Amino acid sequence: MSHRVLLVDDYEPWRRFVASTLSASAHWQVAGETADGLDAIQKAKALRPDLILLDIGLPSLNGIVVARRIFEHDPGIRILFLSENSSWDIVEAALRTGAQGYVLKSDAERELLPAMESIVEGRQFVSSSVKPPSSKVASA
Amino acid sequence: MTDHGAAARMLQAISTRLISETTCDSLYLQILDAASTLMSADAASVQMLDTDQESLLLLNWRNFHPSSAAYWQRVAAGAGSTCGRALRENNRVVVSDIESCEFMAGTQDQQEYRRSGIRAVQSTPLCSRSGKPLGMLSTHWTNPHMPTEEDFRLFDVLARQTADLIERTLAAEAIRESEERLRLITNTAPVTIWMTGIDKGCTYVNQAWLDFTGRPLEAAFGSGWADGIHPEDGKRSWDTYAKAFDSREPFQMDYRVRRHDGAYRWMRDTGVPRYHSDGAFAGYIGSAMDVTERKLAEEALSTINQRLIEAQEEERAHLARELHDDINQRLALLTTRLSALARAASTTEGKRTLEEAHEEVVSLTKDIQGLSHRLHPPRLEYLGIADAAAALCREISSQQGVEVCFQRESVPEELPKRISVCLYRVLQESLQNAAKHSSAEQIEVFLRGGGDHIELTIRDFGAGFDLEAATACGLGLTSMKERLRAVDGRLTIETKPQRGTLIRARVPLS
Repeated sequence: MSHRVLLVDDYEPWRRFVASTLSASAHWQVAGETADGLDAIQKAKALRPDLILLDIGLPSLNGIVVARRIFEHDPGIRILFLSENSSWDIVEAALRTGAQGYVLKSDAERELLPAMESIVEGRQFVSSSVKPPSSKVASA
Repeated sequence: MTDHGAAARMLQAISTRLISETTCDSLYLQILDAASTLMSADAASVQMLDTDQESLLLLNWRNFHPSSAAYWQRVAAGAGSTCGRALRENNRVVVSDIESCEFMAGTQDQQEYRRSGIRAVQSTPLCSRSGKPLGMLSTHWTNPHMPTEEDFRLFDVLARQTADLIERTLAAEAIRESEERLRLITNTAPVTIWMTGIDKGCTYVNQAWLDFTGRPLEAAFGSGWADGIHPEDGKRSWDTYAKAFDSREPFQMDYRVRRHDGAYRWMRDTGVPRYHSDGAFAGYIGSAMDVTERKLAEEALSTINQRLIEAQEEERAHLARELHDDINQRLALLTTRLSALARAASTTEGKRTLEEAHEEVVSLTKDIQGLSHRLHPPRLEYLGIADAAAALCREISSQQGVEVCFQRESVPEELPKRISVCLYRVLQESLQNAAKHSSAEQIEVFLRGGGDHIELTIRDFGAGFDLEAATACGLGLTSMKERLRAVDGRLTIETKPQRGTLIRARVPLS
């Protein structure tokens, strides 16, 4: 049985790369694609995918807001962020939405499929290159 | 023979009039009559020392020939008269008979005494209580005469009173001249000048104020001066004045005033407390000048600065997007391909080369991402101002090794982008300045929403700085101020050397 995936990324060559990576495996099936944040929310509702691969920098709504809205509507859905943004504060904010994973695009060739497998099996996954900073800040 | 009882009453009457009267001429005549009575003299004169200190001016006289009076209108210290000699010697001079007086012999003064029918004369110098020469009181007799010491006893009391009168006249004259000079200066000054009394009400405005406002003098008195102030500036300017007034502090403020032609002009008003000679508070004095042109130039400059800052911000955001959305996406794809190629490489050498290329591209991607983030922080867009500010605090803390405490309260979830960018940049600049220059171990940052506004404060307890010098030489503070002006906000900075710094940026939310 294959898992249905929604691809959300405004860079078309990247979507093609992911689609071709997934097509090599019988586990995955691309259920839909979109380059736009608002459209991603609509497609998530309409397609009810097993997993959403979500970029952060998107037109009309950024990925973090998109994830929040999707979870509001469907708290059980699974989201894996796939972004080239490695800032810890952004990774942290992305994971705070309820998303189960965060993979850096530069690590995707190696980590994308293991991450997707982990998430559909109910575990979390964060790229090995993403590390929290050490600082003296105190936040209230 | 002098009637001492009558003379004493006369002196008493003069004393009373000296206290109560301000017109001197009739008093001088009364003094001359008293002098004549006290000394049983036939004529008398009173003179005042001229400002050159070397001659006497005739103030009033009794029973001189008019020609003699004209001749003695001014008497030099070296003249042949008793008064001229008394001035030179600063001592009383008595001549019992002018016909046998050596120093008078052959002088014009002797001729004038004869013309006025005078044979004997005495001149007594009038001095202030501190001993300063002020004038001369003289009495004259038609027959040879030598007054006794007893005659001079009451006369000297009169001389004392006369000296007081002259001193008062001189003081009044000095004040009048001073006031005249002041009036001349204030009325020809190119600025409006005003004075207020201890009740804060206006008591004086100069001609420039009347010309500027086109209103009559009476209109300025009390609180009338404030009637011409622009309604938007009225309360603020009154509060500034009243606050300074109550604490007796100098103040400076700008406000708009309606000119005679109905146009509102910006005035820069400066006031200081004034005090009487005994130290008692007397009110305020100040001046205001038309700074409209300067204000317009400043505003034009400020608008240009704001536009430049906004244009720069837009350009940075554009460049950051280009780097992120295009270059970085392509690089990310390239890294995945290199990674795939490395994995599929048939030789160890080929695999190693491709892995190295992959690492280089990953490193390049990170560098470009760093550059993009410095140009325009994506966190502001993705996280909102509160989380972005917290992240910035963590970042500065980690980079600069200083503890940064961040607190937030009631920050709206969504803010206009211009305001978020403004507050973020102010925080960035303030934290960098504090971390680099204050030597503070801890910086406190507080971001608080207040319904109709949002306020950011950055406080450290470090070295502080000279605000004037920093404003003059650094673009940082100016740029912060301009950023806030662009969103109708306000920046206030409280700092003193060794007393830390408090920066407060407040932006209205409408």
